[in-house]
Amino acid sequence: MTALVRFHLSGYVRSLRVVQPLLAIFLLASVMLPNAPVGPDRATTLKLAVGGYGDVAAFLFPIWAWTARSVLDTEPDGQRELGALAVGRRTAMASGLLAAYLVNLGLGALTLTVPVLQGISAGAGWGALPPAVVLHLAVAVPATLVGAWAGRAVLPSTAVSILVLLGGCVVLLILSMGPLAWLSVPMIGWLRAAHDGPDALTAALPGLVAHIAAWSAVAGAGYAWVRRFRP
Amino acid sequence: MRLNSVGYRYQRRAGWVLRDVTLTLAPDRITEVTGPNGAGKSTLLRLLAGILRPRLGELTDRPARVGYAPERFPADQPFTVRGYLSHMARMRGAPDARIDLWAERLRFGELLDLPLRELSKGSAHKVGLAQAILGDPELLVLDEPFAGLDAGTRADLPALLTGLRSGGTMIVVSDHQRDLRTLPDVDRLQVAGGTVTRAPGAHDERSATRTGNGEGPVAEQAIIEVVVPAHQAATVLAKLRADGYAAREPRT
Repeated sequence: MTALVRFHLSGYVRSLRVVQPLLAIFLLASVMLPNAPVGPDRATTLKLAVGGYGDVAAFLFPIWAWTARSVLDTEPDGQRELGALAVGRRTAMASGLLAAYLVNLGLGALTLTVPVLQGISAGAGWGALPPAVVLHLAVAVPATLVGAWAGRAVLPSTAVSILVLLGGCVVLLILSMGPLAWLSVPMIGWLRAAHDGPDALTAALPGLVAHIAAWSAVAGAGYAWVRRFRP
Repeated sequence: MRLNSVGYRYQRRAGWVLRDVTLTLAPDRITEVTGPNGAGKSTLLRLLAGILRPRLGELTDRPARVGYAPERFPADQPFTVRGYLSHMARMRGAPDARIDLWAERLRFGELLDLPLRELSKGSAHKVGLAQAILGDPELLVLDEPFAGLDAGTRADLPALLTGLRSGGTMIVVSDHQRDLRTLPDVDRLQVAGGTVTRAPGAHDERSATRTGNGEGPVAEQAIIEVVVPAHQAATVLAKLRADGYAAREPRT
C-alpha cells in the first residue's frame, strides 16, 4: 500500500496539479483571514479564534473534495488498472483514498497556519488548537470521499463529475441547516459549536466526530460497492 | 485457472460481450487468443487478469501474481521511464535491478531516463511489457504485445515468452498478427460471436509448421544467461553462434 500511496503522491506533485489547491488556499488565506481575532478580553479573543478555525474547516471542505478528485484522477484509467493488479483491488482503492487524504491534511495544515499564528499573536494561546486539529482531521475524511465519488473511476464524464462535486457540497451544506441534518456532514453543527467558543467545541466534538464517522462509513462503503465493477 | 459459464457486459442494459464461457487454462502454457476486431479478445484478457469481474459465472484458481500489459500503455504520466518502473517494482516487491534487466532484454535501456510522455508508441509499449514482467508474475496477460514493436524486439519476444513459460509462468496473449504461429505447444482460443472456442493448437499444426530450412518443427526456446570473463565474451559468443544459437551481448 505504501508504494502505491507514494506513487499517487509523486504523480500528483510532479503533474503540478498540486498548484491548484495551493492557489485556492492562498486566496482563502488572503481574502478570508486578513484580520486577527482580537476581542476586548482573552476569552472573547479565544472564542473568535476558535470560530475562525471552524470557518476554515467549512471553507476547506469543497477545496478538499476538489483536491481528492484531482489526486485520484491524476493517473490515467489504464494505470489505475495496473496499480490494482500490482497491489490488489481493495488495497489500490484504499491507497488512492489515503493519498488524497494525506494531501488534504497537508493543505489543511498549511491553511490553519495563518489563523493559528493570528490567534497566538492575539493572545488566544494554544489551548483551542487540539479540538480544531481533531475537527480538521475528521472533516477531511468526508470531503475526501465526496471528491472520490466525483472521480473518473465512478463518473467518467468530466461535466457530470464537476456537477456532482459542486452540487454535492452545496446539497450537504443545505441539508446540514435543516431537520435533515443527520443525513449530511454536520457543517452547521461544527460552525455553531466553534463560534460558541472552545468549551462548546470541545463538548460537541465527540458527537460531531461520531456523526462524521457514521456519514463517512456509509459514503465509503457505497464508494467501495460502486467500484466493484469499475476497475 | 478455470472459467465457469463466465459472462460479461460493460453496462447493465448493454449486450453481452462474452457469454457462457467455460474453459480451463493449464499452467506452464502459452495461450494465444485470436479473433476479429471487437470480438471481445481484450475483454477476455481483462477478465483473465482480474481487471474485470465476471457479471455471470465464476473464475477460479487465478494465480496470485498477475502481470498485465495493455494494448495501449498509459504513457501520459509525469514520470521518467526509470521512475515509473521503480514505482511499479516497489508495488510488486521486485528489486530495482530487474528494471535494467528487462529494459535490456526489451531493447529500451537507452530510454530509461526519458519522460514517459516523450516515448514513441512502440517504446511506450515496451515499458508496458516491462512493468508486466518485472514482478515475476505467475500469470502474464499480454494484449497485442507485438503491436508497434521494432523488428528486433518482435523477433526476440517469442523466445522471451518461451523462457518465461519454462520458468513456470502461465501466459495468455492476444496476437492479431499471429507472431506466435511458429511456436510449438501453444494453446489457441478463438473469440467470436460472444463465445470462446478452442482453435487447433500448435501441436495440431506442427506437421505443417516447419522451420525456415524445412528440417522440422520449431523447438521450444528458452533464454539463459551465461557469465564469462570479459576477455572471453567474444569467443563464447562466436562459439554459441557457430553452434546455431541466437546469442548477443547485453548493451551497455
